[in-house]
Amino acid sequence: MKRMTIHKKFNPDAFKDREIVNRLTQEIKLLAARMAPLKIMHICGGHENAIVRYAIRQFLPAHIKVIAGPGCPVCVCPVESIDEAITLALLPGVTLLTFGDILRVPATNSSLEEARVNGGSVKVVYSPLDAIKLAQHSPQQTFVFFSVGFETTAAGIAGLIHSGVPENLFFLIANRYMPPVLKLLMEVHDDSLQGFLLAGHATAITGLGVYDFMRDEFKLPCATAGFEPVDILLAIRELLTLIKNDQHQVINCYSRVIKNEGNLIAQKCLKEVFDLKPGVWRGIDKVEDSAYVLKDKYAFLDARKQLACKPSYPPQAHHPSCLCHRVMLGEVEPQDCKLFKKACTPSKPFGPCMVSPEGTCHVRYSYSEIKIDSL
Amino acid sequence: MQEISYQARNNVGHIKFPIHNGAMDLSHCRQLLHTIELAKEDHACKVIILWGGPDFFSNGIDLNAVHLQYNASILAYKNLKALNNIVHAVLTANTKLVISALQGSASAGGVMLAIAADLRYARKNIVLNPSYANLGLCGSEYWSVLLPAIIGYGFTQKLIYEASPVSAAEALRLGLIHQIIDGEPDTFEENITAKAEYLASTNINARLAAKSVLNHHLLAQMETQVKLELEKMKDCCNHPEFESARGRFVEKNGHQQPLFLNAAAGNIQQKNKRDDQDDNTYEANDNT
Repeated sequence: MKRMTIHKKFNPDAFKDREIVNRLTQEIKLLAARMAPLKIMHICGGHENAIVRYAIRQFLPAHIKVIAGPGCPVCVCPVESIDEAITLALLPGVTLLTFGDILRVPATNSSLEEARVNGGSVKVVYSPLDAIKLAQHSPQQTFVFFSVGFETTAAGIAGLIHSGVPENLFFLIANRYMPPVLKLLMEVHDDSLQGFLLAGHATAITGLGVYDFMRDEFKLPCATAGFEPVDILLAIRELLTLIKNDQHQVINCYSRVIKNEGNLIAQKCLKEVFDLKPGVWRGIDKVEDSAYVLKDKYAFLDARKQLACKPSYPPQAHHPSCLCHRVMLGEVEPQDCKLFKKACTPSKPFGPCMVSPEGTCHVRYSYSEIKIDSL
Repeated sequence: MQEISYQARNNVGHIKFPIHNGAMDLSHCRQLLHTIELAKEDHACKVIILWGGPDFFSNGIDLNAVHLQYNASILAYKNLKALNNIVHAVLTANTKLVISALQGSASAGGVMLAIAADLRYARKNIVLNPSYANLGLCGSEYWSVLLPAIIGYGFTQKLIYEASPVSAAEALRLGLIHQIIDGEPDTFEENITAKAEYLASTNINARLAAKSVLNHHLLAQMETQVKLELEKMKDCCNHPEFESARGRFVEKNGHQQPLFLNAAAGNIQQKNKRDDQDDNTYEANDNT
């Protein structure tokens, strides 16, 4: 069979094309036919959403497992940070600005949404630029932008800070940097993972080089992937080829968006504004060099340093029965959690993975019934 | 951190690891592994003695450090694997004879580290405590290979399921240790050093050839068994039983002597009392 190649020029329909999907599926089946059972992990909530929404797991041979890792930015946001955000939202004269999907994530005593009901000032914004506009519009009011996300969001914030922000706008930074957590995943999974699908958007910022340690230290191949069915299948096919040939490169299967070197301007901004320090990934662990922290020269913008954001209670990461942290580590499936779909639903979430559309539990809850035949 | 040291004299490598309370955290494990690897590569060294510390040989992973961690399960699992690596390094020391010299007691992974050695000598008052189950763990450090091979399947069942401490005398009877050496610590050290130097200087090739034959079957099972052990340990590390057992251990004992050792000492005292009574009865019967 002639090997499929995808034209680089973006044509959205081509990346959902059923015929191309079928051909890639055939190629994957042929490749996998003589391979031992193997596990590939993706580390992007967007991938989990696409994989489940397009029923991609059902296209794969049974012995090729694609499992979800800690790729949902809202899910890994430490409960301590949400507690701080809630404390800030309840301060007189302070308005907390953030993205919508963090609002309903349960923290120690409540969520931001509940804090809003209890009189806290919380506004949803669609871009950090909205925060600038709001701060400029009400100069007598104090605004705090609660920043949650991976490299992509951090780069936007860095750009904003770098170019100057109003005096009444502060930042509560809870952004996380993905590469170091792969080392933790390797520790947790021992030798049971054979490859990683890298997050498309985050790698568009960092480039591929930051994952070279996977090749050098762990001898494991990685492939970046986009978010359409063809993108994902293509990356899986390339990963299987590397695994079959015992090669350990980090390859770019999303070249219409990602340059191998990444976004150099964004990288410069990130370096200018942030340091990387040890940071908690909710329920998972404290991971070295994985938390974006404002550099000292930007301390005047740091809500943690300028405002009273320390809660009066100790943090409680998750409900004792909630398995979100193990779901994020790829150790268990959502259905292994006894709360899943019973006590824990999107309308009444116990853990963060049931809240965000990128959370594994939410995605599985929403799309689990889709079968290939219905597509 | 307490010093982990290696010294080679007269073809014998002495590894001492006097770690506080015998609780080995990740850095202790990495340092000890490095030291053992160093000894394995030392051509002048034919016999390695693992001395542990004067108070404890080793009590396995450091539960206090684990308990303080953000995600205790992950650190516990990392710590277990690091200890596994040490036991693996001992078991695969094919060109050296390894002796464990138990000046103090051992528990959990520390017991397995001790019995991974080819020859095992202990002072009279030590206790071996395979206490995994008491801590909500099923056990790792190659216990499922070592214990059945050394003491048989039946005694392994008792030791692991009951998780009760074993006195030096009982350990000798079971074959967990090979000899009890009485006397002061200095005498113990001199005695074992003399033994090791003799073994290192007399027909060491023959002893090592015998070791390779004897360990052949055991080494073949290791890979499969350790995978099974770790798989189950991961589940245990994430189970509430481990959390509550760990909490009890840490909160009740702090950095003091582990409670099980007190229990063990009590059990052994009672047993000695019973033995004495039996002896008296026997003597009384004899006299009649």
